[in-house]
Amino acid sequence: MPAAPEMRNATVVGRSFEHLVISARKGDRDAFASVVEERFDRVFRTATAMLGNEADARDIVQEAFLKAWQQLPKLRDPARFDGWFNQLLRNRCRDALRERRRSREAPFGFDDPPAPDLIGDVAGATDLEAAFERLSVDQRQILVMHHLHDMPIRDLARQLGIPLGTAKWRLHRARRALIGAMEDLP
Amino acid sequence: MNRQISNDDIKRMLRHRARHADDVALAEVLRLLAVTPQEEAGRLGGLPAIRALVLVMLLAAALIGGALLLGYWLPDPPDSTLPPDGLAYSNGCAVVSTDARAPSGETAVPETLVPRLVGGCPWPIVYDLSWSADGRFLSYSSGSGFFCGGCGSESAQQAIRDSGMWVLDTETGQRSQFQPGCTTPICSYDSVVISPDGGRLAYASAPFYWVIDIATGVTVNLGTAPRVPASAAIAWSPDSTRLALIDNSKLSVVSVDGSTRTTVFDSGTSAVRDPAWSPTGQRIAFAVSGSGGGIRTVRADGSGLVTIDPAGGSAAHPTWSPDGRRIAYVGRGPGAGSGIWVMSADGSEARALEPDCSCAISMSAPVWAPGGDYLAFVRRHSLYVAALDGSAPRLIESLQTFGGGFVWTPPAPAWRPALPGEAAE
Repeated sequence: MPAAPEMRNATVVGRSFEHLVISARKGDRDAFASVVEERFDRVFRTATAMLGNEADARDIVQEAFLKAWQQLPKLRDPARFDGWFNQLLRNRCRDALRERRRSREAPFGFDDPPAPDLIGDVAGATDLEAAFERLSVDQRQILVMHHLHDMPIRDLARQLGIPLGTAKWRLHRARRALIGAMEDLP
Repeated sequence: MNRQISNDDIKRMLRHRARHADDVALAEVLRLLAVTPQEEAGRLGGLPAIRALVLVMLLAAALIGGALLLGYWLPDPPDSTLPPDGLAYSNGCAVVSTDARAPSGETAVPETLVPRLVGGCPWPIVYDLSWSADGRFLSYSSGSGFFCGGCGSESAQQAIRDSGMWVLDTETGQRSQFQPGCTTPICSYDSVVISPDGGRLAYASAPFYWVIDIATGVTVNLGTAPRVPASAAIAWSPDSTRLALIDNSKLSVVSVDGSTRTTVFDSGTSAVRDPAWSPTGQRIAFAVSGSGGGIRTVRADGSGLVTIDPAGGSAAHPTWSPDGRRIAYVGRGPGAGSGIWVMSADGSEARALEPDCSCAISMSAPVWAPGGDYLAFVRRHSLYVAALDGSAPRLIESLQTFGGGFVWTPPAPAWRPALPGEAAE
């Protein structure tokens, strides 16, 4: 992805991320474009890891950023943008997984193959991936933030807007759920 | 089953799941972001916006004045290599058709095809312009699920009433609206394309692809569509008997009555999109994202797969020249920069339309002029026409009403096909 870092730097130079959020909140589209460019890589990786499907992740990220643009005037504290946006992303991921489940039950066309199930649509899925697919969106997100993005628990708590102890507990529960899902695999 | 899981195991697994993210350029994903409906007066209003508007108007007036003064002293450019007219596009307030032959420095007065779109400015929500092969019918879609910022306003209500698919008969001026299966206030359809014979519209309305007969309104289900299809997920064969459809990683050819469906390409995991039939109907060009992706062509029966641009996941929008000898696309070519590339249909002789330009962001699909010697495209906020002789693209219109700085996937213009007996210039 050689072009994106240059582009991000170019757009953010001279303005802090928080200032960009403030400008975007007032309706500055270019500032919002810079916000997107600045956060895009991490957000897309998060969505891809949570959903295990690049196409779905692209849709989800698109929807989440559009939702963010629409609702940005309601964000009171620009410093809380990341936590606020993570919540939007989590909600969109939750919707996508619900829709994926529903699509398994929907009737299909004349010769359409059945929709892939939640586990099988990840090519070459390992048992661990299969187990991960059984986790809730909240559990997936906290594991992705901590293990994929190496986010310290303190930052994780701040982004999720929860106390440090709660963050530790949720991370522990997510790991336990992953292990439990592994053990339940056939 | 009793298994130990370490933190490293989890990290490895998550990195594996997110691996594609490394391969997908920002621009490639952002191109899916359509024009947002954030033109609500409340959002953009306020004193700072008014001041900025006044400033911009003053600046524009000064620039126009300067350009007119300059144009007065300069001789007219030669007109031996002028592009044809009939270039339809949405300027944010209307669908218009312009004469791209206006000399630089002069402003052509576009012909209004569809006035006062979806409630008028500032509701720039028109997509998927396409012409029938005889240049008589122009189809487009209107409406967006993202759009309801102020649903109580009159303009929003008008936009809701105008949502759906439309076909304009340019001969009679009659417009026909189609809202099949719509149960929501805003009837939104994706990838709307009129058949070359002008008889049908193909479209995606999740979770299915459909074809509707324009005369009878009868619809045919063509099978499952992605939840949010890419902007160009459908392509008609030139004889209007088959369609190329995208379903995430698959490219399929489906008969217009839905009776046959053949998967002609399946990447397995990488997203496939932007199918385009060659003018003879023998091959289909398409884009594949992810590592090992790029532009490919395949015969309509699934044989003869060729990768003609192994540029990775950054290539999109392949379009055939009218004679089928060349393909233009957006992405990175073999050289530096990004933007529109033109190559022979076998992948050789690729060259950038604008060398060393990093201009793939916010760019529509390139559209060939009927004579094959010009390309039109919308980039960021402006409509351009470029000759293939290496000269700089000509600015046709700055689409200032078209959504400010947040236009990442501008709808492509649509060049009217040459009419029978009309010489391509």
